[in-house]
Amino acid sequence: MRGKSAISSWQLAVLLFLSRIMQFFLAVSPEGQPGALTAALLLPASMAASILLLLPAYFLLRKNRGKGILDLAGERWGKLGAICSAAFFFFSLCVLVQTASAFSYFLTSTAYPDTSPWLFILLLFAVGGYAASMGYEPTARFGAFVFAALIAALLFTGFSLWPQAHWAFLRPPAGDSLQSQLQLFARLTLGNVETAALLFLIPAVNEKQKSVFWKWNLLTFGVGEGAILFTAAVLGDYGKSQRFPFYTVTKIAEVSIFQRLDSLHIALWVFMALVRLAVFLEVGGKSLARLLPTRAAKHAVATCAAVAALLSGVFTGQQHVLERIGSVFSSGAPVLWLTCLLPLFLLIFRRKGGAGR
Amino acid sequence: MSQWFAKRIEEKERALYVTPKPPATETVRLTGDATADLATIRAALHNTADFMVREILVCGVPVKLMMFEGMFSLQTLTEIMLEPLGDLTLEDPSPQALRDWILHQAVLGMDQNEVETLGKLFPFLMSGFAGILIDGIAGAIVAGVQGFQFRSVSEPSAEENVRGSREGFTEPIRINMTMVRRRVKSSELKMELMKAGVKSKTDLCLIYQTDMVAPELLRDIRRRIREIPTDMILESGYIQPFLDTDIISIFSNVGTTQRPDTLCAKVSEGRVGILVDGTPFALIVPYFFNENFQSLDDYTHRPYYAVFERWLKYLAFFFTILLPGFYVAVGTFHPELFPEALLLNVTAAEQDVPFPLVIEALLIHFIYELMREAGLRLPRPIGHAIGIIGALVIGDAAVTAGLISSPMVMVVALTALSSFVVPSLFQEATIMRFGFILIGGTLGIFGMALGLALMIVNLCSVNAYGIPSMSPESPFQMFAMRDVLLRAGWKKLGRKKLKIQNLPGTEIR
Repeated sequence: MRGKSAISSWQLAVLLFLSRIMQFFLAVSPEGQPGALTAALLLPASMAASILLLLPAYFLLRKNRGKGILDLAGERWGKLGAICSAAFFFFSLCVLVQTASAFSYFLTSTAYPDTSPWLFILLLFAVGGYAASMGYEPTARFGAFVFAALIAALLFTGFSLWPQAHWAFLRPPAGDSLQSQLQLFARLTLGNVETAALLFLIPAVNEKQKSVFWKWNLLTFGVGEGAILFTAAVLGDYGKSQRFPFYTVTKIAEVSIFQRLDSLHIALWVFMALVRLAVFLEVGGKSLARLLPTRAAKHAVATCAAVAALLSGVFTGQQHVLERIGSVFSSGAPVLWLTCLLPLFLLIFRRKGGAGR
Repeated sequence: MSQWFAKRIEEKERALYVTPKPPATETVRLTGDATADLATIRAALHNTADFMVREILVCGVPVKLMMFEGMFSLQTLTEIMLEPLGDLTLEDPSPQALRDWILHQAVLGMDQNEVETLGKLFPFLMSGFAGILIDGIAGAIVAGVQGFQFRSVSEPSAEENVRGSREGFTEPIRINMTMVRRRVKSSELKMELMKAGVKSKTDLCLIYQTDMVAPELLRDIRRRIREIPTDMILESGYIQPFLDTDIISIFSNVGTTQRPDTLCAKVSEGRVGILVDGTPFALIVPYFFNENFQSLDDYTHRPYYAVFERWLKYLAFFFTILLPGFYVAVGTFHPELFPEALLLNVTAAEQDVPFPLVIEALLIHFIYELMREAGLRLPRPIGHAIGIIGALVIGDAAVTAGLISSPMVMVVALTALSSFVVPSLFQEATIMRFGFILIGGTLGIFGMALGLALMIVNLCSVNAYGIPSMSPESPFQMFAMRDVLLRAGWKKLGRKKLKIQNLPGTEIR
């Protein structure tokens, strides 16, 4: 007997948190980025801005309980609603390609320098696709285990490196230019792709839907702040020369005979990458299913995974394409369109005779 | 393409196998002409040698007694059937009067029924009942006079405990039912008899507590049992797959036990126990993953020790599936994970071995499985010899010959030891261990993590009869942890009873 794919608010919050925190961990530190303290201060501000961003979606979904954004697009815009499904599908595809490429790049540049990125990409999408094809529930339940393991790993790293943390390394925000601060703020707010996933997945939550946003942000704020500040306090300016600063932190963490545990952290990150892939494969698969004929719709998740794997493999060697995708996300346009403008238009414009009047 | 393959497979299957069908005589009715009915019965039984008939006269009415050889007790038959029938005097002797007397006044057996068709008569006769055909009555009366030989109640071989009862289930279903009833003297405990197996017509008994079980769960189990297409059911393992989850999974949602006390404990939480005639293994439906780490001893020992034991079992399970694969993965791809001194020892030991680490691990685990299987199937005295051969071959000769390294022997020893700690997951652990060795040796920690994730997602995707198999770990419920990761004392545990349909994420009520 299969589940009804209904999850609790905590389960969705944990899924979104894991997906978001994965983005933090895989973030390559670019030149001229503001200091960790600035980033830590901007994080709550970006969360406040996200509330404003989600206001139209909040009013839309509150008026139409139990319905998803794609259902509403179909009801209100008829066949034009397919544009909405296509937008979510392409958005998910881009997130999937970016995640898989970044993660395979991370693996080949740290632990497996001689292995083809294709191998990682294909395996990640095979397992992620399996998780997504089973529905929300299994991914959410798996997420709970990953969350527990992540907290344990972070505590271990924190305790082992506590004596080496020098809080003087944290540069005051005044040292960063206003422009760079605004850029980071925009990236934290509009580059937060999980906001779109939240909008898509929220109808699957069977209780306290509103609380998902707070729980998710509370977790991200608590863990994200801690990780950012601690990484900066341990590595100082050395962190700026590292491709993956948080990975470097895990590399130097040791307690007694337990040392060089970075490989074990990689295992944990594989779990987190799988969660992120499964979440966006669900979003992409369900959106694609609305665009395909009924018979083909059954294989939408598998199709989405296959296409994403193929594109990830092809683009992994082509840094300029990935940078282009990254810059589109950094511009904030996709998240702004999907999470704010689309719900706003759905609220305002309705097809004549369409439902929801 | 897939349809073409399915068609080809179906054609091959049709050439090899036949679909089980009930015998054509199932629906044949008894006519009332005892001689003709007996001829029909004999023909339906193909004049089988173990079918016995005695013809007697009771108050001048011809009566035919039917039995299967070795299935009845001669003493019981004489005392409660033949003597009362012999002494009987009826005021108005007629077939109808005799039938009424047997059915309404006499006690010719504790279990007495009237049947009209051969399909209903045969299962009774073949279960040790005596059948009475009265000339002039269109039907047969069956009375329980069972007296076949069976193994006596003894300690369960696969579930021994330090404290607690020494009684284990035995083969006859009725004996097993009494063992359960003796332990729970509650009017809420219900036993429901069913039959399964197109030809074997095996007796099954559903055991549940009416105030605890979810009606939806019960309906689903009954439906699944009714739809079992198998012709022979010789062990509970034959019906287990039909009660299991529909999702392809290496883990089962149906538990087994040989202990009546364990069955009673599970039933009291809203589960359904299923006894199958002819086997000492009862089934428990649904069965959650965490229950594999529980045993009766957990509840008889002091809580702090029970918690220690439970954690030991969780650790042992992960050791047994992951340790060899992890060793191979670390040794092949991530040697920096070894502490320095250990790394030097492992490197020195592996230098003389001609195989890569993954082949070495597969080889030694294959040898271990070979010896375990041989020890299991052989008579006990020879089985001990296998142990000696194992110790000599693996422990000494193979290392001396340079075929395997001593650290690998340690790994296999620890793995083997751990695998016995959670016997209910033995099969799953064995297969997964080989899987993890292979992926650890080819993909390192990355592969191990993927494999583990696949295993957990698969476990999490199973909703056994609408209840998450991983509950209450995920979806998490803190309160239920007192009997999962911990084991609270009886003063706390006894106050409130778990009802499985109340676990988080459950779809049934």
